Amino acid sequence: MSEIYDIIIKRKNYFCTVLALFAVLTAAFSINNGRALIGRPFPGFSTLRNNLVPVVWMPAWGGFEKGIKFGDIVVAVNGRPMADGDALNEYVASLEPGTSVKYRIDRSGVLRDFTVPVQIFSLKDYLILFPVVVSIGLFFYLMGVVVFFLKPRNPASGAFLFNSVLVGLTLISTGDHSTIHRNNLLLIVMPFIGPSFVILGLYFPELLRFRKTVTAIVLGIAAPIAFLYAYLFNDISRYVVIDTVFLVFMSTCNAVAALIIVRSFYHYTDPITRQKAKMVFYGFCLTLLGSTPFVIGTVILKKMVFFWFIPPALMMIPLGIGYAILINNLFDVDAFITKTASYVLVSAFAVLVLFGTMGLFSFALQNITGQSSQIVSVVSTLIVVAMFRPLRVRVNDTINRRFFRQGYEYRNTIQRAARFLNSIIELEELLNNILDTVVDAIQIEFGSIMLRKKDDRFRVTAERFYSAAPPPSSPSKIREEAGERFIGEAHPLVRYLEESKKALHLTDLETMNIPEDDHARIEALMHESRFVLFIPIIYELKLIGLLGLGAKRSGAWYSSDDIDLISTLMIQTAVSVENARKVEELKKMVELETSYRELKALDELKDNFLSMVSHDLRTPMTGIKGYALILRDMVRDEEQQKYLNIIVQQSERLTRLINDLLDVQRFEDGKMTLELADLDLARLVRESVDAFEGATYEKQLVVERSIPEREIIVSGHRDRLHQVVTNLLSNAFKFSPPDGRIRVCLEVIGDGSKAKVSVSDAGPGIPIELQDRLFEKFQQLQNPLGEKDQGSGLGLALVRQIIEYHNGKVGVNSEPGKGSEFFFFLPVKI
Amino acid sequence: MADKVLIVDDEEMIRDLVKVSIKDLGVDTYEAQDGVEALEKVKEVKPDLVVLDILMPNKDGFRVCSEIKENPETSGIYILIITSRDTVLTQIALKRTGADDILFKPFDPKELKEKVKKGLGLF
Repeated sequence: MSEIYDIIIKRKNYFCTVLALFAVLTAAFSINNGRALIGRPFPGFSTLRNNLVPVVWMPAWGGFEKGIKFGDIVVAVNGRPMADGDALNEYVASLEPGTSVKYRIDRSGVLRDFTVPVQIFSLKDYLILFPVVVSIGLFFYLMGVVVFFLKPRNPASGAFLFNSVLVGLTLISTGDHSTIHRNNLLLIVMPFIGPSFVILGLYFPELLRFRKTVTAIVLGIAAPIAFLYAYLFNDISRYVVIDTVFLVFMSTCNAVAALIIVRSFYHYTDPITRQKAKMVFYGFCLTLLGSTPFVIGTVILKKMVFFWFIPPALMMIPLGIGYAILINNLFDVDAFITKTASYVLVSAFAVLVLFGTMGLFSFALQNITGQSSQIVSVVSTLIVVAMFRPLRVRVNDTINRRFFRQGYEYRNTIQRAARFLNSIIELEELLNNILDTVVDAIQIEFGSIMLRKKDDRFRVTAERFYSAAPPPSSPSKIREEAGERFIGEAHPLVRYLEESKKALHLTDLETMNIPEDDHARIEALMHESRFVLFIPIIYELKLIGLLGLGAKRSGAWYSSDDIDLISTLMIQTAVSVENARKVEELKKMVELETSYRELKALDELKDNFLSMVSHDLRTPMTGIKGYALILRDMVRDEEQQKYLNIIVQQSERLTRLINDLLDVQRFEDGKMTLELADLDLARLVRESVDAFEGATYEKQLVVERSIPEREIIVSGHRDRLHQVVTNLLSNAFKFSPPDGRIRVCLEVIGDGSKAKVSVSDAGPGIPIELQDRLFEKFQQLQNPLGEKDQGSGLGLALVRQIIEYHNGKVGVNSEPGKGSEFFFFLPVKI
Repeated sequence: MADKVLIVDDEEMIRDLVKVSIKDLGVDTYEAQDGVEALEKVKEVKPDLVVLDILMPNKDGFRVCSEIKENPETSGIYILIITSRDTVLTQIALKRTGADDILFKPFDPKELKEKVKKGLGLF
């Protein structure tokens, strides 16, 4: 069965075209055939080919006035038995209009006679019975085809198609079948109408579990009935029986269908389903309202009453269903009903006024002018029509205030909200108030405002539940992290809202044109969190927050009025939120500015402090070193000179320490400024090594060099770079064994843009764990050679700071037992 | 006539050290404790060379230097700055103020002597 369905879907173009063509042809056929009736004398009532009087009636037809009722069987005309309805019509057609004809009627086994004058089948009769009714039928039919064409995959489309085709065909065939008897499609089609309603109920609004079984059952019962209905048509006595069976079956099916819809309505709490069911539910109610007089009139009183209200009322249901299947985004049925009712009431009121005024004017003016009432009525109509609009507005307003307070309240809500939106600056208070307003005004279960935070997550900033205590399980299960609930920026929902800048309703999901994954994620989010509606909060074209709302307490849909109201509020909110944010930022900035200034003052103080300290340290140093030197030159005693030398050396050492400390601090504070100039790195390294060799006369170290002869120009500070090289050399020296070799290398590497200077020793090497911290302040390595380190632990730190100031890099290669290589890179000036 | 050297520093110990360092040069030495006094002494004594400290109360060495150099009467005086401030800023500021030489503390007295010799134009 489903394979056939798949084939149909694949070839839906052909399928739908064929179906549509068939209907159009049948309709054209009917309309054309009916033309023959115009101006022809006919009995004044209709008969089927088997002489049964069907439920087809026009107000002008005299037969029913004269006592003919639906269900009567014509036995004889003017004493002559008629073979069938065609013979009857032919006979009557040959008579003069106005001629009285005696009809013998079999009414439930009792024979009665009625006399009915022959009538002309008027153009009006034709127009209504043929073009109008056929068009209505065509409309029903094509609606089903169109819905199926647009949404073939939705199972409800198939059920809807089935139903509308049947109803449509019935209506198309009615006129013909009951007058000229050419179209007998009706007979096969009608028995399936009842089941088609049941099937529709099984597939819409929800797919019921037992749908396939029940479908099979009802179709299984309908098939034989349809067969018999057609087969026994000409056997009038047996036809009546099958007709009764058919009626009972159809009524049962309709009742079952109604029950299923009602059940759907009460059973499903899911807003979408409820809303769809409500659509059909209301449609049904309207139909009942419209058709009850009809049923009472025709079936019980055997008189045709209010025929004309049926099709429009009936059209409500399929229209609604079709729309629902297609769009899946139902307008708020309740709002629609209330608006319609309002219109109806107003129109009725206007009509009453119209007639009343007309009557008054007629009466008054006739006495005055004596003119005919026609002119008067025209004039009064014009007057009333002119008054109609302002009248209508007044009445509408009154009705709104009295009966539909909600709509009236909306304007007040916005005004109320606007008042505090402009006055409150405290962000949280603001948001809570907004939520309160919205949740109370529209009577929503719960709502949350989520604002975009600095980490680009939309965090729940304010939340409101209608009842005081939130329901036991938290309804808004948005992703939780560390107790805070949020929606991430990358979530497709956020991206969609950012792009579309419009509200997103649960029902919009199906019509959204987004990838499958995103669709699933958004759907999951909305189902888990039970948010039904998301409104973006936009400020200057950027998404700054989201408003998430749960279902309305009444279970009704969010009408476009609701969404308009909320969206308007959100525009205001966006502005207020931004204002509140700006105020907070401003506050922070002021604080920051204050603390910045304080910091700066502190900083300056610190630099002055450093200067102070350095000054205060260096002054006594000056004295110590200075006088020690003077004294050294004054004494002749070698021992005394030796001791004085020690004093000088130590004061120099202390001075170096002070200098290093201050340098390191200045580098760290970013207060160090070195004037860089172009210099020849090769020459500088050579000179530094020379100077160093000269100074290490004790150990008589020879430094191996690998320094290119040519110039290698870098941008640097001569003294500082000298300091760097010297420091590396002295470290190598410290950690070298007596006959250890120190090697200094200078090379240009890479594409000629970098110069590498490396100082290698054959010392004990440095374990990897200790290598990380070598270039940090106050790091000293234990020297296994036992030499007391005269350094301050600042040397390498300064080396790094100086080299990094020069936009270079420092590093070390070392393994225990394999010596160490300290190196630095400097950018070469091309 | 012997050259006159004005020694300006707020530390007596430093002034003494400078005096001792240039003793052998046979110059007349004068002293000032702060910037204001320094300028007064310059007007009064009209030295040939000023050994000038920077960090002083009542006008720092920079300003004193600027004022001496800007005054046409005293702009010929050789100014040797001794200071513990060693940042580059000091160097730049010095160039702007027009000082003739600089020596950083703690210094070698011999070096100071050489610089004073040079400044006075002595062999």
